[in-house]
Amino acid sequence: MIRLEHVGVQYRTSNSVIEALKDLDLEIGTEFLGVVGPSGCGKSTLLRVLSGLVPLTEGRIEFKVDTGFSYGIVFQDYSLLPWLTVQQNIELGLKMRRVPSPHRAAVSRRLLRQLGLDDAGHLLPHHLSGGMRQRVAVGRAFAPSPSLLLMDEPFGALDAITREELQEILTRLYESEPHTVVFVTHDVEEALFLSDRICVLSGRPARVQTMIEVPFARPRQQEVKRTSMFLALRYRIEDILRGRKELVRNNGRHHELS
Amino acid sequence: MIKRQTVTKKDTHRRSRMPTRVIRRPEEIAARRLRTVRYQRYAGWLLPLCALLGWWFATTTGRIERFFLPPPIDTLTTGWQMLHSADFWWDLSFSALRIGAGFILASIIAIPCGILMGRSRLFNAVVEPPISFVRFVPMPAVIPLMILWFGSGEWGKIMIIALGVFFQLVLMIADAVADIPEAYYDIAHSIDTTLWQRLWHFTLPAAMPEMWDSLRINFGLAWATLIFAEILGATSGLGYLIVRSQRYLLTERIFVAVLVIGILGIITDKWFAWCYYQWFPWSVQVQRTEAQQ
Repeated sequence: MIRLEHVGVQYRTSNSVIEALKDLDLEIGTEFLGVVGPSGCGKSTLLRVLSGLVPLTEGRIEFKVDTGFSYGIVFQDYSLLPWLTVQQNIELGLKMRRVPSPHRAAVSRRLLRQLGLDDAGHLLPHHLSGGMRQRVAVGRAFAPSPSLLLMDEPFGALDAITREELQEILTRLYESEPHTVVFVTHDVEEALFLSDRICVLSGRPARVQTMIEVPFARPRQQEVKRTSMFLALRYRIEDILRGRKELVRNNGRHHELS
Repeated sequence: MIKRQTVTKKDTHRRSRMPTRVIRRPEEIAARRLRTVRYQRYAGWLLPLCALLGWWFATTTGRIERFFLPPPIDTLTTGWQMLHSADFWWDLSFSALRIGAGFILASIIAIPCGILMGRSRLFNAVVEPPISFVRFVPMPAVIPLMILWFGSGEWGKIMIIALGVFFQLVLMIADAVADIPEAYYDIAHSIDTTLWQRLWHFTLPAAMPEMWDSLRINFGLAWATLIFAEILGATSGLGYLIVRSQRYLLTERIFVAVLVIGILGIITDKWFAWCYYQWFPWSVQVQRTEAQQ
């Protein structure tokens, strides 16, 4: 369980102060939390705050975990170490924790199978396609079974078909061993398919605008995307995002919209 | 489909003067871009061959004194004789030992120091200004001072090479380390690594290819410093060979020494490049994809 209370983050540039997050309250359980919001609203800052890479300027974060707190992280790019093979990348987290090598090999073998990369263990990342690389990155983050998984638009640079494939793999992986996942994306469809709950952020400084429960049963299949319920939810979230965008763009003249 | 422009009166006037425009097809463009020049592999020999021809021509006319410019054939025979003399190999091995010792000494100090500079802003702020200052002082200017301090023995020359290389090398290594993408350290922190693990498993491998390149570039500098040091004060080595030959007007021998230095330089450079491809195939690939983008 992770609780954020009145969290605020400010960046100081040479001549101004940028408020990335303000007064953000959020509670995350063992669930898949999707985070969507207008671009540049501070979604990535939220992730960096959760990972401790960015210090808070206001509020506090409370972690309640049974065992030691650890986290895994996946970015759109640079999520793998290019000098390590696929298998070494996946085992990296375990190796740093000095897990003995036969145990590591067992974990990586299982993950490679689940990710559909059975024969790719010995390859270097530059031999792989973008989709395969992100699969390995997901495996690298999952391998040490962290108490918190942070994903910052991991499939953002992939084509639509590959992206769907990876969404499915990630869902299967999550369903086989539930974690606490925070998944930032700008793709509403992706967020709906993957998440248990979706947190819709408002424009800068980011606040929680709406929380949406995603009612679809697990295990989820791609077909769920074609149901009317899915579409209705998708339009609803997109409307919220779009409405907010209009407001931001018109800057103080919102009455003209309504 | 190419849309034809309607031809107005003004245009006809202009068009009549213009040459017909040839529209190249995509495959032709692709072929042009991908075409490799025939004989590209041998292109590097072109200018040396021209120089050799010029050299030969200049000496056969007999207008130039022998001790200014000896004929290539004489140089070659002298070179052949030298290859069979113990003195030459003596000089060569002395130079090689000095350059090896000096360069290794410089690297041993420059690599940890550069890594510290690249990773610690405080350390960098402290040592970067003096290093940058010293870097701009040309090495030949302080060689007499070095000989005064460290003597004209082997240590003196090794120190001259080490110091000549160190200041350039350390800044390049610091740059290589500072260039490591921050995302690698995000990964490192996410899996809770210790300082030593980050150094050993992240910083070193990530910066290794660029560090190797810096070593390669600075090895050239080591050669230059070595020859300077040997010319200014030595009783052995390739630089001393040049001084000795000049004294007795054995200009062929100077030419041979210069050629040997050049060839050795090329060989070591190729070795560095070969190791780079062997050890860091991933970096070669990363650079290639970055260039494409």
